[in-house]
Amino acid sequence: MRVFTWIVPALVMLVLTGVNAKAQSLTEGGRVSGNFQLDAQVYRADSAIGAYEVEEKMRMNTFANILYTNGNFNAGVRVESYLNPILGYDPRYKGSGVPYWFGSWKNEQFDITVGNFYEQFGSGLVLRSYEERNLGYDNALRGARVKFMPYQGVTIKGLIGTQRFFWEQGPGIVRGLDGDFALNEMFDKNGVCKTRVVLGGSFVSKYQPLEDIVVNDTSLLKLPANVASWAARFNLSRGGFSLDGEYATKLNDPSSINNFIYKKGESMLLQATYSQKGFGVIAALKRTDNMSYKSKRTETGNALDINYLPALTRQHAYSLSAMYPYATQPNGELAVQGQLNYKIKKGSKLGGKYGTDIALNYSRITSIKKETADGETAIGQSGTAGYTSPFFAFGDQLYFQDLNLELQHKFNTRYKLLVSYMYLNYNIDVIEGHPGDPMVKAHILIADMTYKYDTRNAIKIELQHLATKQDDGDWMQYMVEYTMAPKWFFTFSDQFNYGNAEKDRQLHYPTVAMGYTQGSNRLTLTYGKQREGIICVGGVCRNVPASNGLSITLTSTF
Amino acid sequence: MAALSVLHACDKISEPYSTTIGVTDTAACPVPEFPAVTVVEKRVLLEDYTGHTCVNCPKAALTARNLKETYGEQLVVIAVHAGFFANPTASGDFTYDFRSEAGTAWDNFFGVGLVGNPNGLINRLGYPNNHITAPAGWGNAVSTALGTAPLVDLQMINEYDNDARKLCTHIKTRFITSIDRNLKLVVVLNESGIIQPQKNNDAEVGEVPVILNYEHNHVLRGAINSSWGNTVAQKGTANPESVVKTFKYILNGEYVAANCQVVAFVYDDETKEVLQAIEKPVL
Amino acid sequence: MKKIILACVLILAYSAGKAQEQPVTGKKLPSVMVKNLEGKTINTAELNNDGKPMIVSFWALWCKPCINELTTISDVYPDWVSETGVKLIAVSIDDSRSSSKVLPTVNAKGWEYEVLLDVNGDFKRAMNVNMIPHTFLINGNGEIVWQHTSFSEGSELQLIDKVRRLNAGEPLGE
Repeated sequence: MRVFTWIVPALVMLVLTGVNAKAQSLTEGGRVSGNFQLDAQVYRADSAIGAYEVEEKMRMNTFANILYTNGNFNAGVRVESYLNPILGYDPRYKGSGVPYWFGSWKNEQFDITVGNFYEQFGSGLVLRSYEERNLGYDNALRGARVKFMPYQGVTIKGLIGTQRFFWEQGPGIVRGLDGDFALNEMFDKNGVCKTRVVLGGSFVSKYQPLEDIVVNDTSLLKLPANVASWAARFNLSRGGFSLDGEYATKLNDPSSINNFIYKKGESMLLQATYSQKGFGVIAALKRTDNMSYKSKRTETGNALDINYLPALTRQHAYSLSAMYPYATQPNGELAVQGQLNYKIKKGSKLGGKYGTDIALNYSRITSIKKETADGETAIGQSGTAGYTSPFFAFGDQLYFQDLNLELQHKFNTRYKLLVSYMYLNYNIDVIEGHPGDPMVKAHILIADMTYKYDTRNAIKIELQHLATKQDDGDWMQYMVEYTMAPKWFFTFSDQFNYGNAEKDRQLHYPTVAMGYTQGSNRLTLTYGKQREGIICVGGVCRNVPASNGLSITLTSTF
Repeated sequence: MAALSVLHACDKISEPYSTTIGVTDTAACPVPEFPAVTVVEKRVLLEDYTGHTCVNCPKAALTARNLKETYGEQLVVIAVHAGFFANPTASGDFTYDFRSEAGTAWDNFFGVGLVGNPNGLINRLGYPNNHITAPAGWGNAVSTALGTAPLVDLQMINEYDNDARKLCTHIKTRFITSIDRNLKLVVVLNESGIIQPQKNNDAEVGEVPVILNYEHNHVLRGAINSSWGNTVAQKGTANPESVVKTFKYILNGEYVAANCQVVAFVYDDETKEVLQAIEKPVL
Repeated sequence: MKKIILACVLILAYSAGKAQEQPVTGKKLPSVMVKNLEGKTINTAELNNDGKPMIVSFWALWCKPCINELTTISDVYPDWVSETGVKLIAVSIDDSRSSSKVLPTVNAKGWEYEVLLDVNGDFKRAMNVNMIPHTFLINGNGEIVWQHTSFSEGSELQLIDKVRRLNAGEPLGE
């Protein structure tokens, strides 16, 4: 393995020096580009909000990407440095190094990548390797990937690799094969048929060497070294109507997350949408049953996921509506979601000069119904088949429900207003690991007004209110933002937990921020307090600590 | 930005500039004669990072207990209560403070609490990027660690004077082969049988959501010498045949001496790997 | 290992630097496979506007300033097109959690842009985008001539100013 890791960059180097030594016309067209980001935080202890003393006082995350392109050839590196990782990031990132590098070559039929790469099959239900730098998420695959496009409309992908585990590689090897067939491009090149059909299928298998795991005191498990999964998907669209579906299943995969049961995993995603100018409606259904798929059996954290299980909820942009975010329960959930978007026409009475945008959204997520596999063994007992679950039955536990209405209206060239109301049910017992705590029921109201007093200067005022009788009680937040386009912005905000039952926990979280942008370079400074959070994923609960201090972010693309 | 970090990154220390640690008091604790060793046993250290508000921790403690039953004296367990889920609450059932200075120092250094609880370290192997092991992996990690031959042998003799609550602990470190590394010896006190509430979400392990009369075992009470220990071997210096260290420790009034154990372990100061461990009861 | 990588990077930069001494063409759009709203696969290197300028803007449904930018431009887009012939391509980086909601949302808002779906971030990575909104201006030859990140009320004026200068053959400034 050690030999392999330096051979690839050495090869890349040889190819380039070789190319450089030849006629200059070959290097013509070679381009270097990249980006750079630095996040630093300076901490102060604040016992009132629970911000503990940080020994280093300052922590910093940095990364830089460099990309070289020359015709059909691409190569790149990313250098990362976490000295030490800022609070909220996994501490195992501590250190510096080059975790990501690759070389690729492509033409009309082939696309070959060697080194580290990201990939998604379908919706990611069996394989998705991606990065989310601002959350510290990175499960890049390291190995080789080949994409083959033998015929228009047909794409075949094959890959093999190990996954990133901070500065090392995980113990498992992932192999995958995917085929995507756009039937219209294959058989109907003239575009006669009005219906578009796309079909796809994937097969993924992971290998991890066998190990000894004992459950229930005395049972030594007979583990599968190879665990396979496959998925089938379709996509139909005609005019403004479209229907997408994907079904995935995984064979026996006893792991820490599912408590070592041998039941197969299943997940299904079905979405129907209809839209035309001024109107759009979506309905979606998702079922997940034992679909956590990792390349290390005993991993319980946020690392080494082979697949991706998206939460079927709306991502909210305002802090109080995002205060109780839902986290997908890989062991079992059944979700429905509906969304309606409508624009009241310009010129009509309610629409005004510019029209009014209305968005209505509803999601509901419950557990799945679990029944004993053979009538005797307890549900979810380690070392057994686990349980059975009827496919479309909703379980007894409500995990999450939200109903949200949003109206947006531009009055004239100066005033814009957005108002939003949300009703939320949040099962804090399951999602944050607070057994016995009642379901959080909250009403959230938001008003976001923008006033432009000349072409380049504007003031934005946001008012938010969260009312609940559970957990920490009522919250209110206001924010004032002053922008001088295109370069500057200044913000002042405060989050206040005025409704907390305990008087000494009625805390303020004020922050001030400013930013400067020049082209693709941006610098922001934020000073203030930040609330803590708890995340529970697969049997481990992690606390993102509260913090108080200065935060600096510098980002640039070149 | 550098200026800002400089402004905040100063620690001004005032007199006295040092505290005394691990001073051996051979007058108060005369060193006894250690018996000869015929068979050297390899013992592995399992640190279970836990907390009383951590709902998944009772199941991990059960895993540790089952492993202790399988391996007996070959497995030394320390339950380190540190991090967010070990914090005492202002009121309610969880006001007891299980934390210790040594436990918090280890948790901050190894970052276990920030990754989540329950999690464990087995002989502190794999530092700095792959040292944290989830409970399901403890069995495998312990049996693998026991498979390697010991390089160091530890013996311990404890003497306890109940009236003065004075504990004299003597640890003999014997080098089986010559070791050219910086090695340190840490000695800590554990207490078992502490009955206090514990949050729980697994009905097979106990009552949900709280086990009111939960028995906390192997709780790290504190370091007898210091969190990171005394040097017993130095790189570049030849090892003596053996090193004997003696420590005097006065037990806190609320500790029940009959339930306390002394744990000592030797580790490599660079890799942090634990080479040998030993546990003996106070009485 | 780190030293070898560093050496590689330096050699890369050197050979690219050497390459740039030639009479050069600017950086062009990389070749990445993305899908459009009809599910058809598009090669980003083939995006063009018949010799007229193009704006490529990265956005997502959950990014408020991105929605702001695209809504503000959509109010004046017909004027921009008739004046400068510019085409705006809005690349959504929404992943499978929300990518199926892009088409209905875009239609309901009445945006007239060409919208592309970059579900796993491949195009975003190839363009070195860190934070969105990130907007690129591409000239008639397919070269990236200007880029800008973040949006505040009035930033669109700077953007259309750059497009006008590009059409007039004037230097773009910063």
